[in-house]
Amino acid sequence: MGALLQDVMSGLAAGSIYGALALALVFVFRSTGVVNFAQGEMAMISTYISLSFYNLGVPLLAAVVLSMACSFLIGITVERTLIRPVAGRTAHAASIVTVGLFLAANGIAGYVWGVEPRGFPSLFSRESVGLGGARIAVADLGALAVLVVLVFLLFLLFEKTRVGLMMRAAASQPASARMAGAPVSNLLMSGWGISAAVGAVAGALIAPAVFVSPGMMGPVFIYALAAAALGGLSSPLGAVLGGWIIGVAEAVIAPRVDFIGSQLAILIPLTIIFLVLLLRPAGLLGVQEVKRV
Amino acid sequence: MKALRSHGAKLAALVLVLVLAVVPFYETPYNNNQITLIFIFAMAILGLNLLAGYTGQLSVAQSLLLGIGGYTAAILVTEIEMPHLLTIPAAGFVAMFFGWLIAMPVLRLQGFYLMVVTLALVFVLSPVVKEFPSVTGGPEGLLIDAPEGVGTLATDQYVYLVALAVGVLLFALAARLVNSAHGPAMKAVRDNEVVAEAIGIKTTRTKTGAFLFASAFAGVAGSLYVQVIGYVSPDSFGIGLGLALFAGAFIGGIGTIAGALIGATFVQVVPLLAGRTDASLTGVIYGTAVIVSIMAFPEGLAGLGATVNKRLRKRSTGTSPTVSPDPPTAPAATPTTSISSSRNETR
Amino acid sequence: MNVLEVDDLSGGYSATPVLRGLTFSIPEGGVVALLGPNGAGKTTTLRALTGGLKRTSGRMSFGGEDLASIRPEGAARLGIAHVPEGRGTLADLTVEENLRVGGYLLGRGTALTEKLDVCFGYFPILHERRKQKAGHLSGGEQQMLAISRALMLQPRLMLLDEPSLGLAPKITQRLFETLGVINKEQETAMLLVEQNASLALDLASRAFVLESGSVVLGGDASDIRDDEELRRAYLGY
Repeated sequence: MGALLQDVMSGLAAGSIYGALALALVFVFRSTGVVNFAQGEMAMISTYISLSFYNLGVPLLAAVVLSMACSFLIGITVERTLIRPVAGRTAHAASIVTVGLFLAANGIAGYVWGVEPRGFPSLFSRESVGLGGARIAVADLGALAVLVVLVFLLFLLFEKTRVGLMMRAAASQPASARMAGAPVSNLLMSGWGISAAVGAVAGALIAPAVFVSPGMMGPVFIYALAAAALGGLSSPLGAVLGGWIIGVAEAVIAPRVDFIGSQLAILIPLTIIFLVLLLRPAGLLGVQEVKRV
Repeated sequence: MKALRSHGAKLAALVLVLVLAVVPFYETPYNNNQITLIFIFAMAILGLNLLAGYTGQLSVAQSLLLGIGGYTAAILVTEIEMPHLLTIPAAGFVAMFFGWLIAMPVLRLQGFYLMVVTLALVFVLSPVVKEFPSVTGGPEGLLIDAPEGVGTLATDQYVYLVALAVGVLLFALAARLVNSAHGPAMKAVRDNEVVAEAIGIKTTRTKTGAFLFASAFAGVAGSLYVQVIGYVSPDSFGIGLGLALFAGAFIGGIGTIAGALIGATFVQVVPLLAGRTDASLTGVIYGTAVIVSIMAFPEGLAGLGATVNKRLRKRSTGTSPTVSPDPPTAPAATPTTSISSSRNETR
Repeated sequence: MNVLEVDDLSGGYSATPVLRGLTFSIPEGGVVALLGPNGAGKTTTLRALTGGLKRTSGRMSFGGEDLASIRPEGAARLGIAHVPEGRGTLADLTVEENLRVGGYLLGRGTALTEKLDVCFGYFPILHERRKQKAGHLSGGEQQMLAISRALMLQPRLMLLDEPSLGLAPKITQRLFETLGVINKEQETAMLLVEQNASLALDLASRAFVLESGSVVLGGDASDIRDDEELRRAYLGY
């Protein structure tokens, strides 16, 4: 029982990290209608920026916050210079550009910071607390708490504020939003900025576990995609639930099923992506698109 | 592909093949192997072009299928000592079979969902291969003996010429395919699936067919890859190669057959050049090239001429709209004057 | 006093001109119908007024302000609201959210809620469905929503593109009656593009018939409506 609880908790913690990156994906998708394949790589760059501030002597928390600000600027620059020029070209042009950005960001990080993995300090203490016979790491609880706060803030932004409403409007029908006098281009730009900042948080959460390197986000990004797909690409809450489901599924199943050693654990998110996209393409909480021809 | 229809382009292709056929007799084995790799990547990109460029199904899983082909060939050679030449079609068929398994479920997905799933699939090969070391050699991979040269041909020259011949075959096959009735059907699926379905095109069959071709091409390329490199390992066919091939397809020109060769050259040559200063520059150059090619040349480098031409024409008409009474392309929103003129007659 | 003046306007989407020397005007608070066959340039005229067209010559002015370099966002700020053909409602947003989007320029204050009540007053069904996604509304309700969303701007001029498109005759009838009420109570001028000429002529005070991008007939709506010969020649009924 204790072992199971422990696995569930570490699954929730890992799932929170997937969920945080999935949130960034959802934010871009919801505010601009693009799947940003470079989201993981942008988060990786953000993590390097956090680390650089930290190495300059800035306290860790402040370093992450500074990196969030830088990431916001990077996000809006990416939207303005790379995404906007192809917006409205073909349906997938923007997504293909983000694949290009994936490759470029990866190379830039390697060029600037080198490919050797570097350590990253944890935002939380390394202690653990006892809970019902299980030892639960404080860092795990911290990751969980950060994600809950993040999703709550994003939920408020989207559902309860005017800016959030206009962001949703600008994403689904820019022409209509424009006719209502909304500054659509600024809204789209902020969407990319905010999601890049969210990605910086995800990066800071995962970095202590995987070390910082240009390839650090590869598998995490797949898990995040799975989480976003599972929850429905347009639902922040869904992204978080999706992250938790995948994290817990992996942590609970992998040690209990012989066939799925740690090598094949990646099959778990993959299977989930497959099943969800085939059975319910809109995800668990996503809204089925109203299609008209 | 329209290009190959004209006699001039056919002649150019023939001259290119003849020149390429002579090259291995004058080049070093190292260079021959490098050019052979270009041919191999060109086959994989060509397959991707049929799938993504013509049929509009964006897949980044081409490296997975290349890997399946590579492992098939390596296993057949080491386990049952199959002659290298025979592994080429065998790898093609095995990759096609896996392609079929993948296509059945995933081609129901649209656009970036397809990209998401194929991206995830790429990550499966390595752990699965490592899980079955008795067949696949596990993390260490498999070493295979290079094919022996034939007659006076050295190994590198022999493999080069085999790859060239197979490449010509696949390019001819692709050209035939897109110039047949299937070509327009594929493009119709790409441009609007609902409309394609409505005009009687079997969209599922068209998409699956394109996926099978793409898989088979990648599988064939994979078997040749093993013959050049002499080695397969679980990490040879990861996301890096998958995205590089995807990038190559767009850089060379998605939806053009000649573009595959240009894209493949890019995929093979850039890492070599970048490696002289910093290997990381490879990604920077790939990424920048993809972005630039999407933004500036929607038809890729192979369509460069056409794009530039179009721009120049646009500029000349754009500045003096009244000079050109009959512009080359009428926008969709141009009023249909037929109705009002018939009205005028009845008046 | 005219709220809108269009003088000798020519332009199109690329090099091909769609509008050729178009001239007409809309009096303050008046309803003007823009009639004519498909492809005569009616929708293009509406787009021109919200900045969606390449103008080659001519003038447009709105309330004395030059519209030469108008952009869609700017049009809304000036008080021009566009109800596009196909309605352009935001399918994933609820009815109320759609209206709030429409009222973006009103800010956060009480003006917004007041305006919401005005819209719900004209179309009570929207109040009933205010929590539903716009994509789930019927065609008629979507059209009401599109008109209400435009109304949220408190526009001086409303551009209506084929409001009757795809609607049952009975619903269209009611919709046009409400448009008449809105025009009187809100003093909103309207430029109405409509295939259903008889319906449009009932609502409008003036009408212009377009052919190939220029006005071939203009005058009081009632004059055109009552002159069978004109009707048959220009409107085909």
